[in-house]
Amino acid sequence: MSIQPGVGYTFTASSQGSNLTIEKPWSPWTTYATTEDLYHPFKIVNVQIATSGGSQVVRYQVQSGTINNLVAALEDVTATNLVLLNRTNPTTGQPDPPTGQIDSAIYDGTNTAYIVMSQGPAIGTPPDYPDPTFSPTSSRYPQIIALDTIPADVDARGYLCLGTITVDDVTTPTTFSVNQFVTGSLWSDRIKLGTTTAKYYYARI
Amino acid sequence: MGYIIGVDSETRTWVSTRRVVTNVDATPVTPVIADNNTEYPAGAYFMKTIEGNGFIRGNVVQGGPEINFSENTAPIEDYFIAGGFVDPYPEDMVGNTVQTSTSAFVLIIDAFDTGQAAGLDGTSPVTDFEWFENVS
Repeated sequence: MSIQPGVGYTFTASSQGSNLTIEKPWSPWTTYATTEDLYHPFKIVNVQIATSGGSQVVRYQVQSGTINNLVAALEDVTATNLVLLNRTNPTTGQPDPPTGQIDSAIYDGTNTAYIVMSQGPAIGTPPDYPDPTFSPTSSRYPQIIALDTIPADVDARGYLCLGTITVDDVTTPTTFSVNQFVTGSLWSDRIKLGTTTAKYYYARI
Repeated sequence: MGYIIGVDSETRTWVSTRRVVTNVDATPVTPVIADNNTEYPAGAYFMKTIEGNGFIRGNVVQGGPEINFSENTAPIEDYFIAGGFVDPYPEDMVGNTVQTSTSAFVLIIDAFDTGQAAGLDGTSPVTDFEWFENVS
């Protein structure tokens, strides 16, 4: 038997015997940014660098979560429209769970993409918030997308940053890091006073 | 199934903690009320705080805070009453000035209980309620 050198342990042998020293726990097998954390709703997972159209991109998934009992949707790279985070029967060839893609144009000067969830009141009467009607092209149903900044709230929708993904290089990323800001499903209210922009309130449930 | 904060229209905690003041004597406007969504139209009927986000805490049992300025005809004594105030506390508001279109008076603690005599020449509605302004 032979033991090869590896990360996190050392192997030494001499006439006195053999020693295996483990310096630290095993590194994660996957590219999860924080695999030590428990999974939770809206956790950004399975972040990976991939090649698409000859360019390097970053892809990510988000653990299923709810806001006001509505399962959020994600802009899926293959379906090219919104897909519910808890989709169970994907079309052949589509990733499961839905997967978002971040192109280099999304990264700003700080090499950071913001994973943002937005939701707004339904159009029409009653203007329930968030819009409870899902469709692949809905604009106000709760949905997650990667953006180069966190937009300011508007009357039509509020924006909440779930986390960020930062790469070492915009066009040819090789490493990334994830910061997670939201750690659970949410409940939210929308209140608008007169002509001022509506205010959005969130709480974790 | 129990209630999640925000679900029930009468007891939901979040709305009770984000109230505007209803200026009862002003021309009423109708707020938009939908699930988890409330819109207060601009006008004199609703007043928001000048400082902060515009909201004050309400009383879950009594409902939202409101002010009511009653002008008697012919004037015998006008009364001003403010109800449902939890935070700011009525005690903290004593000494604030209430302005109507033709008069002004200073709040006393009676305004939050039985009502406060407010002169003989008052004209409703209140136009300025210190710490608060119309939703615009």
